[in-house]
Amino acid sequence: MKPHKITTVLITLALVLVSCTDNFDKLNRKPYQVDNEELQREGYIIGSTLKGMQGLVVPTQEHLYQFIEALAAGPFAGYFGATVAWTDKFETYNPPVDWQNKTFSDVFTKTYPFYRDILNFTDDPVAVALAKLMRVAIMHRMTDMYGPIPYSKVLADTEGESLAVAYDTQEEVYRRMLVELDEVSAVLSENLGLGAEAFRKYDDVYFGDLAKWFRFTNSLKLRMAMRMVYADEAAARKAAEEAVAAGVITANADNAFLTVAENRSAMVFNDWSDHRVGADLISYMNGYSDPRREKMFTKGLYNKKEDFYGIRIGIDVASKDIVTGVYSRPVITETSPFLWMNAAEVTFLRAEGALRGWNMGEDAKSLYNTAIALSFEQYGVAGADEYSSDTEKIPAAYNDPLGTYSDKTGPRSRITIAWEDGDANFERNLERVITQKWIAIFPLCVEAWSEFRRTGYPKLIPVVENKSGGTIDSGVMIRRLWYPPLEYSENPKNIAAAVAALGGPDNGGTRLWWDKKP
Amino acid sequence: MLRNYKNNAKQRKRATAFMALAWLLCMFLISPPASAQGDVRINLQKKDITVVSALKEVERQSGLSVGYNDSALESSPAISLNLTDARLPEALNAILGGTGFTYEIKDRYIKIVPKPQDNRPRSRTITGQVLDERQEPLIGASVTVEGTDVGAITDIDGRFSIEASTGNVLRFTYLGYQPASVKVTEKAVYNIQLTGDVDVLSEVVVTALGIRREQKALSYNVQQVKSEQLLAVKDANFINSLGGKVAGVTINSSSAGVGGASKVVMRGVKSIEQSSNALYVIDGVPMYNFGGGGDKEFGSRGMTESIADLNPDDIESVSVLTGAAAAALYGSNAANGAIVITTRKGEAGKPKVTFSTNTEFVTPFVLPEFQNRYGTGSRGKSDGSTILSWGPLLNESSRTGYEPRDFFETGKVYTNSLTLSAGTEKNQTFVSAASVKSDGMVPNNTYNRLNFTFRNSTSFLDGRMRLDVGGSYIVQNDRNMTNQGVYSNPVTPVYLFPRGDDFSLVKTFERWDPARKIKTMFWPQGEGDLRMQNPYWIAYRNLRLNNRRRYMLSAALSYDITPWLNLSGRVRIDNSTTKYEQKLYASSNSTITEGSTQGYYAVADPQERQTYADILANVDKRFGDFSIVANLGASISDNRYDELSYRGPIRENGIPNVFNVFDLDNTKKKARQEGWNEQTQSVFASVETGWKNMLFLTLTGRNDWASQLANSSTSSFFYPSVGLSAIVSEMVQMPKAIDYAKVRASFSSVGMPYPRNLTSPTYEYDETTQTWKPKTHYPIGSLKPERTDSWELGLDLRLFKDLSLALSWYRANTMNQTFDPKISVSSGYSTIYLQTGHVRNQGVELSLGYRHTWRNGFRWESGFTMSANRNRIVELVKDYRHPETGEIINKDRLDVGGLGKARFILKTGGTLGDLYTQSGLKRDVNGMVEIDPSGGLVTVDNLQDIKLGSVFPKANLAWRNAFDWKGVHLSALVTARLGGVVYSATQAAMDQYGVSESSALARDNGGVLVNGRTLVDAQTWYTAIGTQSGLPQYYTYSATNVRLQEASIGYTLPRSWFGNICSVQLSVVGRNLLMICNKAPFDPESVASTGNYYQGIDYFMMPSTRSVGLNARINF
Repeated sequence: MKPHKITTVLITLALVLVSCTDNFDKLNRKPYQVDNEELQREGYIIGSTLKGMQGLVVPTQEHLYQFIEALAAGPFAGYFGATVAWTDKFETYNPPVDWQNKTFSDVFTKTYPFYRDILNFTDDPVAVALAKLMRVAIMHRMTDMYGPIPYSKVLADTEGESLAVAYDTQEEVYRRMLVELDEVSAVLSENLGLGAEAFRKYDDVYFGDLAKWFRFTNSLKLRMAMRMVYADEAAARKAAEEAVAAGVITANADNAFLTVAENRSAMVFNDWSDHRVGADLISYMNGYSDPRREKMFTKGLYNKKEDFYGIRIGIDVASKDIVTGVYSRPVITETSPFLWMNAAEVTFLRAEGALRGWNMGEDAKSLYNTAIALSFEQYGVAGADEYSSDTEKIPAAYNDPLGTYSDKTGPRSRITIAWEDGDANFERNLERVITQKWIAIFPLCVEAWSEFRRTGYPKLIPVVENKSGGTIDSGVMIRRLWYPPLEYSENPKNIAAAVAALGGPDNGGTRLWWDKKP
Repeated sequence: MLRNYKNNAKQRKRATAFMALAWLLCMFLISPPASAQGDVRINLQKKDITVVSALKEVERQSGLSVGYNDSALESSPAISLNLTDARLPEALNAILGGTGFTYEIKDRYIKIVPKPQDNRPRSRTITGQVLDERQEPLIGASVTVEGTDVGAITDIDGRFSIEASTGNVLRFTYLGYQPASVKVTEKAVYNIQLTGDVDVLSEVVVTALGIRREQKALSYNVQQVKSEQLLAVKDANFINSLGGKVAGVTINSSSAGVGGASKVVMRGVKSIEQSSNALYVIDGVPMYNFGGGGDKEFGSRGMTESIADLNPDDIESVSVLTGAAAAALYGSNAANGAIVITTRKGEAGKPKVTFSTNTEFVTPFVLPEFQNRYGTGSRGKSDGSTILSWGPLLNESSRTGYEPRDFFETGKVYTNSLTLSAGTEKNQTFVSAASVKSDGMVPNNTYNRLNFTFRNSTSFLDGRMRLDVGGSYIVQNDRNMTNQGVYSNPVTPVYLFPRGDDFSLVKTFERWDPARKIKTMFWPQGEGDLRMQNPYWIAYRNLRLNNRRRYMLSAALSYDITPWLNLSGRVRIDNSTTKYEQKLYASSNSTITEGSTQGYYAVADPQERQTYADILANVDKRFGDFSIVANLGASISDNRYDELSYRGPIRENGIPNVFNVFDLDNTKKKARQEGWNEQTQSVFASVETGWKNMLFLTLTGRNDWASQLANSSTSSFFYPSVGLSAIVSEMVQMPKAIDYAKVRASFSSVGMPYPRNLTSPTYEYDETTQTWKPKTHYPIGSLKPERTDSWELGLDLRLFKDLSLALSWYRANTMNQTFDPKISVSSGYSTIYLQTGHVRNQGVELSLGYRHTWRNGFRWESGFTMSANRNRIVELVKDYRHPETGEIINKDRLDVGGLGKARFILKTGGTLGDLYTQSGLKRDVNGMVEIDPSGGLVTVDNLQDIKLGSVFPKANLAWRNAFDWKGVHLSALVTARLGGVVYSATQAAMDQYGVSESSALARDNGGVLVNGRTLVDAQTWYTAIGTQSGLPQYYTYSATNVRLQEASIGYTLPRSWFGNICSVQLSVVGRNLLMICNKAPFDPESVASTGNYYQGIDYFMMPSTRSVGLNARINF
């Protein structure tokens, strides 16, 4: 063979090879995953994005749930205390950096890809409205934890997405969210005739029942309106009255519960046993001999005595193995749905509005009693009337079964259950409403913590170990979470503006915009 | 040029080499080959001139080389000369007149020889040819008659002609070849074949694509390690045996123990996000190294890797190509350097059978310092904790004397191998079988392997066609390969075991539960905050099982179309199937079992497939002074991975400890399918042009079509290399001491595709929500392949015959790197894919060798290697314009991971191994640690970056010495690593739990002195700095260490003892015998994962191992 022939052969072979690269497209695609085209089939993408966002209102992913609900907001609300010998944690006011990143960053970075997809892939007004609603439901919790957050500028313009956008002040976020809730409400009311079938498979909360979504939207507006009461009472009242007039959740059948294939937050409590029910909640309910305890908590065991025992929050745990058997667990199982909002909460909100003299459809006392009854009904527990008319019982002092962390101050509050008429009793009735709501919305940690900060109720036991280095007053307790280092490095200009808008240093001692109770 | 060579037996070899060189140099310097000696005229009028000076003058005037080799000439009396326009013979006769010497002129060379004496046997002219192994003529080889001064040098065709008599012995020497001798008989023509001397610089080495080249032609550094060196101190993963034997390579052996994956990095870490691990090449075919990795923070699964499967006895030699130029022909992955493995073939001749057996005993090498004088408890009291050891001081009777070392058993590794080689000139066969059976230091840990290899080489058509087929079958299994971490890692509870408790009680790790009718874990100490379980329970009831079958088939066909043109084609298939199972027995920690009280089961079946094929045209031709070696080829390489896995807890009403998929909890089970495919098609060419065997220019080029680039604007990329090598010692006169000198320079630019799947976005399944979740990274714009540009300069010297030196300087710039840093969450994305990044590695490699055999047979061989690399991030993200949005992005800081509070942060000007923390104890304005009134300490996590150091070494040194004498063999290898830091979260946890010696010492002293004046309670202090993997600044240690890495002593029993049937070599070998210097509480050379950004981090890493073994090798 002559050299030039060989060269010809090789060049031919090379060309043959080159022409074989046509299938590279297919090779380079990850097998066992789906692409855009496949996701469009039967509107799957609408369902997956809506469900994806639903999984973030209260995070269903076990780790994110643990960070936000069980580790951070739970202890701040008096609901949960950690059993693991972590010496750095939210409840002692010194969370490690990666924990700080989780509670902030993960929510944003998980929410917006879904939200973006639904905006990109559908023009269905109901789908878009529901997505907007989910965004408000997710992000109002974020602003309640942090204050200013990126909101209006995120995905503001699909053309010119930016790597870092400005933050909105909390006031701006609230006002904008109220407007968006009105928009959602309008779309839903126009489409009430659609029938549940249309969205049934895209919706694990109300399974396509848009009327229920409509009531949830108005209830969420009521919740947010009430939060603004000490910052802008007029606006709060206006929004609250509008919401109630439009129609809010009044029956347990309308409760917003997210149904999941597996409730993985159950692992956090039952399998990992990283948390137990807090001393505060157990002490209040023990003092009230609350019959709902049986449904809400397991009994702990100490010295062969079974009882509801709470764990003191904000302590340095010496040994997990000693404490996990003693203190009560919340009754959350693999099949439990995730609570977002119940009729009791909405009715307590109305009771507070009525107490403030707003038009909430009924008077404060009856709303208060109804709310208690709704909560008893939700748990399937009898005796609501007897309970709500009790004028004697007060919260119990915390006695640590292990003896180490008993609260020597005695009961932090002496508030009774039964309503007391008269303007002079405004503050006591407010404490009542919030305290009973706190019991009724368990384990809605972020909401309970926000309401505690807004109203100062229920009165909680200070943390034992305050490792904030002086930024948080143990008596005043933590008022917010601070921004994680990631935002300082990746969005320095805007975070500086956000901190300036905060009106105080970026730490846990600075009060939020709505945290203005005199 | 005048050569003075003493005719002295000791230096004879060197002298002849000089002769050879001299001859070559003459040929080079003077052209055309002179026929013109007759025209030379000598003018020399001088009194009292020495003979030597006169000869020098002749040399100067004539331009001819003059050589002599007897001191007698030097001692000749001074003479007076008066030569005017004298012809050369006339002049030489005048000079040599009274000396008893005469001269011979051959071409351009004048040789001064003693005058023939009459009593010598009558000599006659002997002729012949000297060839190398490939039947190529050796030019300038030296031929001498032993015991005389008669010598000759071979010509361009390797031919020689010499005067000798029957009975004389002719000795042939040539640099780089083993000398040969032949006794002169009645024959007049002698054709001699010299065989290459493997240890000298001009040896033949295996380079890219399995092409064998003479080392002197190479423009880059190639270091070859022979199988004897690898086999002397065997390791189940033979890569570990390379450590300290080549310069420029950093090998970190795995903490996963026997058979674990090793991290091999050459000339520094290059890539921000992609792997910097070296490429493995088996018989010219790149092998994708599956495996490696290993769990990081929580899990503890150790991994083996594809390369660890090889049977070391099947390896003929290993070439290490540290630079990118060396490897430019292998494709992208070769930018990281390549380890080129040549496996054994059958040899013609009488069958050779070798049996070797090796028994190794393995014990922990470096353990932290523990205490056992303070007991269980907290705050000095025995209550308050069942797992901490902050209890009261134990008295004589309550001391348990617990030592974590007691948990470890002596591991045993049994290796047996049998090889058989046989063949005729036309057909050779090699067969081997080997087994490795090992029990690790941790009870119930095993690694076993069986290797079967077959290889056959046949030639047809009078040797013009050669077929080489081979196959291997490997059966490998391991149980509980553990690297580090806390879940299911027995090291954690063993180190932290509360010191007031009796360890012997927990040795009975399970107790019969009559109600459940199963045995359940006994562990009253509790899980602490690290999910601890009884260590024996972990060993026997938290099982991880791997079972692997792998086969490799290869075939190569080569055809010589003409003597200088050859066509070849190769195919190699390498497939493996693994079954991985995890079995957690009922009553294991519920976090790890995902809540099940009945147990947990996982099963996976990773499938690995690789196929490679190429065709090559090889040209090897000489044109006068020029030689050309060219290769032109095309290849296809296809790698795929596929895995189906199923895992989950056994449901509450399922049967405990029945491990199958039927009874898994339906809501918690996870079924997964994963896979990938990468294919590269390439055309490449390489041309090496040589001039007079002393100057070589090599050009290579390769174009790759990579599947990773599908759908992008750049569907292929080209990368070239150029190299120059010059044998200076053959071009100019060198000082006498220098036998050989080569300088080399090369440049290469290697392209690398960005990671797969980027251009074909898909949605990933989220098992929690049971939906497909969208990508969270910013949309990808157009991407370009990455590129590494390397420059290399080198010098190879051989001095005083016995001393060799290789020195290389290199600089490699890796640019256009693709990575996805985190961005502000306000963008609505979590990361963005960028292409920028410029990492520079610059350094030197030095290897120095000495080897000498004394007349009494004593041989000393010494090798010293040194490598130093400087890694620098020249640019991270600078003025990067996003191709879609046009936004300009700058980043000078990037957090890429780490453990706990220790983070790898990349900064412009820093290195890829810089460890930082942003945490510390709260300090007041004066920099004093703040102690609150109750004596507490506050940790803050948002400090400015505090640099802890770089985990990369500044330099690695190794010194190996071997002595042989009368069958006794002694060798030792000392290695040193200088510079760099490591971080131990283990020590932090030990301090927090009060089991470290430092925590006990602090208690002895009544506390820890803080700020130089305040005594802080020991438990408060160590809890503050040790909790949650610790404040890294208190747990960062210098990684500098010096160790006796290998030592062996052996004896070869003579064949005669065994009736000439076989010879037996016996040896005692040891690895990691002595840590001469080390400041870290663990072995800084151990790594848990071969991945990026986990080097230098210890989180309950398995201790590295010391091993002592007995080796017997029987050659039939």
